[in-house]
Amino acid sequence: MPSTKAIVRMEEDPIEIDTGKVTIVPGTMTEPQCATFCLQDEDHTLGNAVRWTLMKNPEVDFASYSIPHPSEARTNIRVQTSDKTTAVDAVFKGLDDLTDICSHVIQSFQAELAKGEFEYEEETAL
Amino acid sequence: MVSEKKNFAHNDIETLRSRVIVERDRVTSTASTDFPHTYPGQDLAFNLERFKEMFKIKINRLSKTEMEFDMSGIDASIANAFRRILIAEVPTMAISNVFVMNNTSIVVDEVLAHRLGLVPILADPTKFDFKTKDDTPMDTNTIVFKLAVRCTRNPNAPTTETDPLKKYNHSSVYSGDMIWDPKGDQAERFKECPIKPVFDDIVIAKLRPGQEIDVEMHCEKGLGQDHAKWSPVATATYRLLPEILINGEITGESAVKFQQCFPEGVVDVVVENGVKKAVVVNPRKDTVSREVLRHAEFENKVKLTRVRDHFIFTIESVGSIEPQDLFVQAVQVLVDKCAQVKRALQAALHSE
Repeated sequence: MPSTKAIVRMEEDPIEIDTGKVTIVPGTMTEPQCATFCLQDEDHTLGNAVRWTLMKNPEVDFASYSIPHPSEARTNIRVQTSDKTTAVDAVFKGLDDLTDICSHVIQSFQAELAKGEFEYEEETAL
Repeated sequence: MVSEKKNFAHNDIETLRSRVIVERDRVTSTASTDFPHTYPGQDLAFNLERFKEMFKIKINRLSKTEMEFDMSGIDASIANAFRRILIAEVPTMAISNVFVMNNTSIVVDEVLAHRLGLVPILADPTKFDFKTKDDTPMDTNTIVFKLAVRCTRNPNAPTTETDPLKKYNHSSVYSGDMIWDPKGDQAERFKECPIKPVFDDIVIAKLRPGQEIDVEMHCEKGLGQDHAKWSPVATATYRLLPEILINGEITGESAVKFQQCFPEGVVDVVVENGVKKAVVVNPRKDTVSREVLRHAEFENKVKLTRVRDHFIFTIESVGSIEPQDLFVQAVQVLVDKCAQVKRALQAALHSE
């Protein structure tokens, strides 16, 4: 269930939130340790990346994603965890880990770019 | 950058974990298994500090339109997310509405509109908003171009002239004939970098005397997933770093034959104590054609693998956004996606 911190942050957030973006598929959260999340307008790009960060979490017993039908822009993510955490918290951790990875990728890339240790071709033959 | 050399004898867990094995008729060990509880005694849980230690990026080549870099220490699922975003989810500007005043060329209106749509536009998409269905075109979400060309005979051309380019004026309509029509404060905002097609020499249509094209075009911001004309890249691809392992030594004429199984520069033949010997010098150049695995004499002497977490990434921009900016924007798109889903999930839980 949502931590109080999360709710406070949400109310402070001025950005409009699309409430239909993420839903918990009815009947899949029989206990807090398991749930199937349905992401609207997402595909393999986010589905597979989050699946990987979820599987990297030792408290996650099972994580996978699927696109139930190719003509519907929807991705389902199934998560089952140990008793030490909940499915929702695992997804939050997965998203945070992915964000951390991306931030580091941007930082390293920009540092490498600034070093300028590469071949630069002014104009390619077009 | 090249990961530690693996001993040939290695067919152990470490090889299976970190290498894709290329065999004569199949590729094995393809899936990544770097997960907690997979290998006894190995803690493979995600750890940001460890990730930072392992992650490496090195740019090899950069130009206005192309970039190649090595990225290692990251899983395929995330590298692939970057690649997919580059192709389909980094916004650009492209012509999406064409208003035809007059078109007497042999190119019919809809084909002309399609061709115009594919012309890459040099405009910074971050300075524009997405135009939704209900929005009216404004200077904040639309760029207007005009194209008015009429073909005439060139009165100065000799009567024997057969080259249409000399015989007629405007026998070809080029992307460079598109004139930007600044609206609102656009002229002021884009003073530094006037909006224009990336290339001026794209042929849009061919005309003959008396034919005319007179159209107005509206560019909008969009994503490659809606139409390829909004894709900022010609290609964005990666391949895994190839690795060639030799068991013992390959000497004599065999060494020369071995060298010829690979593209130039991959294997060197050196002479040691008067004996020729094959040495792998640059496996990166290998195309992994597997030619070497067809010869019985090299059986059990050579093993081809690819480093599972070492990506040789190539981004080829269409020219509207420089490749180094494209990559940063693509990764940023993934960050934004995470934030959006996180917020939406918080909202979903809150409303329950």
